[in-house]
Amino acid sequence: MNSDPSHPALMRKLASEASAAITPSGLCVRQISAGFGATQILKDVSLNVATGNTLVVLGESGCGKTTLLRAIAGLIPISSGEVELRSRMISLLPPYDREVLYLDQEPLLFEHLSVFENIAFPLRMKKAPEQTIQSAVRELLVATDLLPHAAKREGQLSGGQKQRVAFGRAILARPQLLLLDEPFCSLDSRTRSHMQSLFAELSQRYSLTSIFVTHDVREALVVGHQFGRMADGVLSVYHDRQSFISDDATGIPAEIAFWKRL
Amino acid sequence: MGNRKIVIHRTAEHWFGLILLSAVIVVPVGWIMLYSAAYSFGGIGRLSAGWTLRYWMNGLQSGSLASSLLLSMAVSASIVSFALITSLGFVLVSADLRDDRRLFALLLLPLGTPVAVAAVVVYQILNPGGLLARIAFHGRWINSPSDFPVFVNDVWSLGIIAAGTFTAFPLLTLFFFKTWSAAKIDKYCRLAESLGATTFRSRIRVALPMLLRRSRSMILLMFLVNLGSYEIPLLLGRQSPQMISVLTQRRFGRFDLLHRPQAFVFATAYLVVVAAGVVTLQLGRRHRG
Amino acid sequence: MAESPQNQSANRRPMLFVVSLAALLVTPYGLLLLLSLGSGWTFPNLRPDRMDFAPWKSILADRDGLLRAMATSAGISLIVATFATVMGLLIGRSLRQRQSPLWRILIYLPFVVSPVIAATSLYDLLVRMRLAGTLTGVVAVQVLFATSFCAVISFELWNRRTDRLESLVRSFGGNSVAVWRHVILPECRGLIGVCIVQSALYSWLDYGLVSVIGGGHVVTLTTKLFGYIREASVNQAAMSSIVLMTPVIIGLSFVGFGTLFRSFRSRTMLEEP
Repeated sequence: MNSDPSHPALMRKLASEASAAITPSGLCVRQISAGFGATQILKDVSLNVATGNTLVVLGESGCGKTTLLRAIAGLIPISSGEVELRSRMISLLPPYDREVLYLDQEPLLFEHLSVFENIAFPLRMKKAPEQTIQSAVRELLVATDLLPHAAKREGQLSGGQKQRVAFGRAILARPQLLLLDEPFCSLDSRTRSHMQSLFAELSQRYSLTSIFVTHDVREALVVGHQFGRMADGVLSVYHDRQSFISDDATGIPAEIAFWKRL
Repeated sequence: MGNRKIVIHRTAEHWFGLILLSAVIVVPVGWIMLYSAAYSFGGIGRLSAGWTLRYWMNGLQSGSLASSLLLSMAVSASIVSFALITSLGFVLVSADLRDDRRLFALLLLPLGTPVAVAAVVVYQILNPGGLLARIAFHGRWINSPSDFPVFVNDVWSLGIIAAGTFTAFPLLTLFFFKTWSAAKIDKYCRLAESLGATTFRSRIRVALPMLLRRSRSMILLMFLVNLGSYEIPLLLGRQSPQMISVLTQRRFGRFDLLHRPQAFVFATAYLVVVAAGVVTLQLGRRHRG
Repeated sequence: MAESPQNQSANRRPMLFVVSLAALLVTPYGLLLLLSLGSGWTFPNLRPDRMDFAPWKSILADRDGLLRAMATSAGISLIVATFATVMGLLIGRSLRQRQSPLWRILIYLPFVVSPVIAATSLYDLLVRMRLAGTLTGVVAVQVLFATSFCAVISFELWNRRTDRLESLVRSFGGNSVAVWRHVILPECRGLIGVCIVQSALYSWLDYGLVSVIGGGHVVTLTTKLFGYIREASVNQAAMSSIVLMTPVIIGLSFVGFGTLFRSFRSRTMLEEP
């Protein structure tokens, strides 16, 4: 490996090593591996996400981004390594005991419940007082611009509206960790742009800790605080936003050069 | 997301489901197979004199076991073949009508017909004193019922095949219609036509193989179900050889308990064939993924 | 644009097949109906000797106990459908988590095995349990087979979305009651409906199990039908066949009315200015 300290690969390595230090809160993933049968999809992946931050994981299709999220969520077993969340070891816990929520492009709303009841669902499961439910849900309906649609059912909503309901519900669930797997990829560009801004705003307001997987660099820059790139099951974490932007492997420098030439 | 399985940790409810499976299905099925086998080998039974191969030897040497099983397989295969040919032919010609509710209503009638009623209807139409014979009489093609060809209780089991085909045809037709829609066979046929095929060729060279490929499990399942048919052969079958279910029940129901082990020989042989069929079905599906 | 002669002929062909199919299918039921309306059917008459509605009159008078047999069949169907649907659903759900094909082989076996042959193997056990010749015995064995149907249906038609919703509800802290209330019952309405109808029909139409396990002591519609066949009572047999097909006729009526309503509505909408 080139010993030039400005070399991106070296910077990534230094960043990985720095981030391998245990953080007292937030998410700490230590050298997890996972696969199907003889095929290893994840290879010794380590990462740390500070509380309230969003780690964006960029990567091409088939690089293992989804497998990483599913492994952290407990939806697939890991063959080695550990996952620690807010100082609690969650690697061996069933998915529903990890306080981790996994969302992807399918909003998964309860079709027999209204928008209001869908968002209220986590609080009802926790048997929260009715007044708390009413005020919390109303606040979220306003924040997600869904107040006029509160009484509607899934079949009456657009794709973007459904995703907002799913978000609102996820926020009210107050998970320790939110995992988002390309949640906006099925939306049109305008709605997608709006959802990116909404997510950035809400995750800031409610101090959500999340991992956001995408293959769109613009989306990564809008929603992310920390940045990583996945290739062939190996995750490289960037030290900061600038190092992410400067790395040729992300495609950002080439994109900038293209627009400048026009 | 593809076909990746979601791992749901096993809750008490899942274990309860497995306990139910064991109590309601596994144990009774196990009993049926083991009891039948043990009885056929003389190990148990009211007049049991100890383990013996005598009943199996009797069944094999007399030829009743082999002829009954072979007859059952031949009849079942014939029913499935005729139903397959007629339903495929119908679907290939009328695929555009697959969403027509009138056609659905029309197929619902024979689909919901009990096998016993199908047997009654076929008997009343095909027997020497039935509807066809009466029409033939009025058309002066026959002079008496004895002149009418024998279609029921006959050597070729034509009545059984007719009744079985009558009940199997609508199910297969609806299955093929559904497969046509789900596999978007329309699009493939249009593609073939845009590449120079005629409508006829696109249906035969594209639609037919696609339908057949997707119906292998269904065909095997139908074969296995018809193998053990009881009501239709009871009414429309001949005295000898009889289909396996009828033969088993007749031997079992005899007053002389000495015939019982023979009934279990037939039952055990049938159960082995069916179990092999089900294993083949599951292994085939597993292989196809 | 006017349709070409080739297109017109091509479009007519499927309808021709359908009309032929209709004639082929409807004729047997027409014969059944005709025979049920009279008494006797001496060769070479094409219709019954006397059109006196005798078989239908005998139902109302319940001379042969046909109404009682109907009630017995309906009652057994209801019980079997309830138990089989609930158990089949639970079993089908549990099997989704099992990878081994052995479990699937086990639920498919009762699905394909001849009920009569199975009943002969179970008969001695039922005698020892004092269930042979009783309604309970018939119900128990029918539940076994119907549960297998429902388990197979639940297993094969289970929606992956349901698994994901269950995972989501549990992530929100929901227990099994919440999963059934908010996921299984709403998402699997169609599946549950199919299980209920299939298992009820299975029981309603069963003859083999009733005749072997019931041993003549349990009288249902199907045993009545076979009784009439054995007595060569053509008209009674035709009438009881039609009664046996009541669920199908009701289902057809719903489909028929639904189709008529839809075509009336679409025509009305087309006519609106």
